[in-house]
Amino acid sequence: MALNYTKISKNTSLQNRIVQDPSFGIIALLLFAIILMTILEPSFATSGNVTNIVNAMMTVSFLALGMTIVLIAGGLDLSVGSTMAVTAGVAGKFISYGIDMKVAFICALAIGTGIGVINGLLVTKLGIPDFIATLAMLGIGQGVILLWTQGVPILDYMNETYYYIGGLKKIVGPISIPMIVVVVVSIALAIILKRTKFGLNLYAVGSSPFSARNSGVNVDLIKISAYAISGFLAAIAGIHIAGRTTTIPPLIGKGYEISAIAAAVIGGASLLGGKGRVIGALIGALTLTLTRNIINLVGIESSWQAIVTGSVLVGAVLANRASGEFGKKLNRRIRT
Amino acid sequence: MRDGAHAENSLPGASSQILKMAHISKRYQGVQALDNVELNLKTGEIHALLGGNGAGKSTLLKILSGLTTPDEGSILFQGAPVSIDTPRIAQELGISMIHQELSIIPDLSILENICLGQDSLITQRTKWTPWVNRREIAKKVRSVATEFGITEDELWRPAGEFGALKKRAVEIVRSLVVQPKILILDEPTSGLEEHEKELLFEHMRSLQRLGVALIWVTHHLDEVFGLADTATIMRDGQSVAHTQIKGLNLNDLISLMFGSEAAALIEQPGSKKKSSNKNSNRSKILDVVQFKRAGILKDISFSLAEGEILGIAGLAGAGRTELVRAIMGIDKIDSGTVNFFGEEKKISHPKKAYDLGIAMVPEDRKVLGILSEFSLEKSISISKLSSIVKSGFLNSKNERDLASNYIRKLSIKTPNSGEKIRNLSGGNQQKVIISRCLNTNPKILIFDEPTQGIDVASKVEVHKLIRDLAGEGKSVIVIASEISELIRLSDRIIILREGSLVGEIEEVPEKIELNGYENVERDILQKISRLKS
Amino acid sequence: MRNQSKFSKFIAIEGIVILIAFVLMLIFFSIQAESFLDQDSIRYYINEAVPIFVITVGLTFVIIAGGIDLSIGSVLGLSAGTSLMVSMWGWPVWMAIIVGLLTGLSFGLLNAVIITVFKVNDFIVTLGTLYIASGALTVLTDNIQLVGTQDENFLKISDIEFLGITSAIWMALIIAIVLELVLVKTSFGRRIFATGIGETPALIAGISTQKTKFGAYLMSGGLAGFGGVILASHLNSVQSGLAGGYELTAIASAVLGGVSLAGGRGSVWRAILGVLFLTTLNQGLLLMGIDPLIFQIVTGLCILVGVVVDRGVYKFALTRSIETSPTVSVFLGGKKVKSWR
Repeated sequence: MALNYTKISKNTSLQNRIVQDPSFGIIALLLFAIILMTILEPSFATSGNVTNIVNAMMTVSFLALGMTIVLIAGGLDLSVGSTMAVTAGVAGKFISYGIDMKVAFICALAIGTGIGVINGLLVTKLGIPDFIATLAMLGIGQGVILLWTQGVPILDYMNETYYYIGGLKKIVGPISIPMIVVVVVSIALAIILKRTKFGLNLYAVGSSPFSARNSGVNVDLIKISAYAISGFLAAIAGIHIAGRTTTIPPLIGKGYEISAIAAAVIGGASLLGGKGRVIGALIGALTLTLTRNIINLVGIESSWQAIVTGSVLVGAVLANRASGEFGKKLNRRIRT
Repeated sequence: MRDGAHAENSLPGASSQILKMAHISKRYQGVQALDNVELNLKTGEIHALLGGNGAGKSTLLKILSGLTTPDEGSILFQGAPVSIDTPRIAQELGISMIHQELSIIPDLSILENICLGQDSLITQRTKWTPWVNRREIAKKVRSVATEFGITEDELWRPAGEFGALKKRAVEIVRSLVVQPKILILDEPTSGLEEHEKELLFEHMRSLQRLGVALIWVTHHLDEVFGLADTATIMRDGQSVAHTQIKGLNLNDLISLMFGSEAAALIEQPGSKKKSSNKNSNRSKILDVVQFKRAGILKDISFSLAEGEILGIAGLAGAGRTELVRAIMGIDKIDSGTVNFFGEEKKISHPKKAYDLGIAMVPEDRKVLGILSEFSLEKSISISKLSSIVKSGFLNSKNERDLASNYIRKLSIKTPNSGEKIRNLSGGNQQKVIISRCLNTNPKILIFDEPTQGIDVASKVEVHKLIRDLAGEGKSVIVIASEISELIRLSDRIIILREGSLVGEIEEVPEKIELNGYENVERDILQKISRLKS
Repeated sequence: MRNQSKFSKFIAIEGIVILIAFVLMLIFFSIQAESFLDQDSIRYYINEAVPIFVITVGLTFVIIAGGIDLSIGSVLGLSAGTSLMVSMWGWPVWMAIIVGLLTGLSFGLLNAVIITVFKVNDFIVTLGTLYIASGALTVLTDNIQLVGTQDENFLKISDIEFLGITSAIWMALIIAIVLELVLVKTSFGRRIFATGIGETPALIAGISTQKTKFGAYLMSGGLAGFGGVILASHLNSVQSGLAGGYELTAIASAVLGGVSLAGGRGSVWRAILGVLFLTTLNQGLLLMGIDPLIFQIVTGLCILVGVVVDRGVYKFALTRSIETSPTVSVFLGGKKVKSWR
């Protein structure tokens, strides 16, 4: 019996593996939408629009990757949007003060990571529920950036290099710096998740913190690290978005937490922990960006964006739920 | 301390003293949890640590595994004094613990579960390598795993696919990775079936042969005989006896654990009063007809008569709990009907079941039974709030009267009726849940593992209560894993296996001492465990 | 020793910590800011806080039932928009109230259905509906200028004085008193508590947990709708983003009042005390000349401190009860990890 099982799973054909991939449904949907749009909307498949989509996708990708890590560890980070705004502010303000760009970026990354560590400490050491701790942190971060800028957008920080970092200028052909960074970060995270002790512990902690603790895993440390990674990636997103938008309104990060969660959940991460993939986060980010782009192109007013994002989120969790139920039923059928 | 950690075991296999805990005392917030406790352990022996709930076993084990430190007392490990301040020190000394709750992560493979948190296994050359090489680890653990019944292929499958026994085996293999000198097993048989227990005991004997000293905590006193060599018995935070198991019987152990009165209570053989009108034509009260649920219940039909105690035997996963949950309307079924007093009823929600007059005392009291934040009063009234409503509002006087009524009737031990239910002992919590059911004035009471995790004295009380209820004409369904308990209680037993009804015992012997008891037990054991051909 | 146990009994009284903190704060501000005790200013800022009062009461029910509702702020804003809109169209005041209420109820219904029927994570669902409601208000205000209804009666909803107090405050008081009674003295309230303590054990005890939760979300939506009507009547103008972030203040208030986010513990009056605490703090800081932008930071910090203090006091109360019954140590020893979900 046991032998058969492994043989079957080892010999599954490529075709089967594609169909059985948890993200198969959403990928098929994406392809369908892309093909449809290419046919119906001439301005869709232009290089300008594609660049637009890819560049806009970068910001969400960073946040979604961080969120996926936190979700795998069984947590939740609502502060990512606000952390992104704070770090964007740090980068922009510091540069406009005349501080060296590298130093400004290092400060931004350190502050982002620091906020993540604080989140982690609040959740693990003080035992505050994850969503409440990070919600409070969201409010605090937003308050800090509002207070600091007095509500006035940050300007006067853009320079030649920053246009490259923001992805507004390309280095070779269509390739921009943020694209390279996303690829590098994704590969690094994928390796961490698949091949390291830390990755193993992340899944263990998210899947069953109690069992993980009983097995000698330092649950708190793993969780804190997950939040730190999320904070670090939010800082990268902050540095990137400052360059992409060329001004930083204080509320620049508002609503990004919901996009990040939606992207991660669309990509197969579960709010119950222990599940999630790097590729899923990227697919989720693409889905969200593409949806917004299509809305714009089709000519729906931009004020509808919040409604659409909200609906996509609710739809994604509903679909996740439905597919989970379906999978369970299918499993039961097969077993009997 | 360091010396202890690195001292070599100079006399392997010989009965050398490996651990000596002396004069251990510990106070928690003014409560004396441990008072001058002693524990001695020799290499390669199985040492049973026995005691009722709250006797101090878990505190003692926490001290031994470094989770807490004693206020007074000394610990000698292989003759050298040690202070075990952190779990890491315990691990370095070679003291491992397998917790009562399974520490298996269902989403990870068995292999990953084995190496989880075991740095020494993952670490290849340098100490701080972050990498996990699963193939290499598989090579390392293969032989040990096979010894405890885990095949090469099973290593790669998610642990969630397997039953409790396999998970225990995984925990044992994991604990062996660090080559422990002392292994603590806290209620290792919880969640295991009778035949699986035997396999686990085999595993324990293998560990003994490997020269590991085992400290074994168990509530099931009958398991101790034939397996444990020595025992420490605790009562009220003190170690009241250190003894060889050979030459003792069950009653000796019980009187050591609970004092002599408890033993006397349990010895009363005549406590089983079969409902007198056994073979007379009692009216049928409940008819379960062709219950089906894909993969779980296969066409189950049975009936229940007035004043009857019906036992349901079967392994966990055989569909016992699922069957009664379906009757209560907690789980949905694919097809099947319930006739209540000959009338077909649709029970789609537990509320409907209570309204009809069916009540349930669930398994796993701490998780499924009690509403921990509620006071005793609120816990009793919750299933029938209308019983305390006066002109549209809940009336606190009615509620208090209701509670004190049941406190008296079931002799629930509590400081007052406003005490939170989580502060009561297991047996008293169970009585509160039974009161809650009785308050709905049920005609049928379902007990799922009613004596799980409560001490022996309370067990006897709960048994008596169940019999009294049947005597009053209420019908009772009882699920119990312990077959002897089932036989002692029931008028009739139905047997489930893999979701099907596979047998029925009409004539259950009146007393355990009577002839036929063993035959019946053997019969049930055979039926519940026979594998499909 | 004796004093200590008296002290521990005192500190374990639910809500005592926030009450003491509130009184201390009142004393502090009356010394620091002269105009703090001025009657008009007190009446003014309490009047401002009425919409938050109202949604906090609804939120308290949801949280005690073991759920969360993040959409209340945005729904309140949207309801304010819809009711003002129909009032500007010249609809009578009672119709405007009904439209506002229905807006809130429909979002409550949406939340309730998705959460209890489809069993989707409450937090995500209400985060989604938060964005849907706030987006809807943006769409609304983009198309219509929502300023200045001609209907005097609509403006009077919140502004009739009775015994020196505005009708808005009276309504908030009545809602609080009635719903506290519902929570403590009715079967529905008892079911809310049972559901929040543990959904599965409550179900097994014969409680329709999903119906109970359904009711809580519906109520929360309805109260947000009503709060919106009061706010619209009070401001007579609605912009995009109105009441965004109110949910944060409401959660902070509830938490400060000792409503446990794990469910099963809390009360309306303590949540109200939380609102009073936060609004008074805001007002005091304002009068001391501190930048109002800091308020968001203060709210965030209050949430954190509130949760930590509540946990501390709760644990304290638990260890106290050990002294009466030694068996509990076993439970504590188990150190059950319970997450808010």
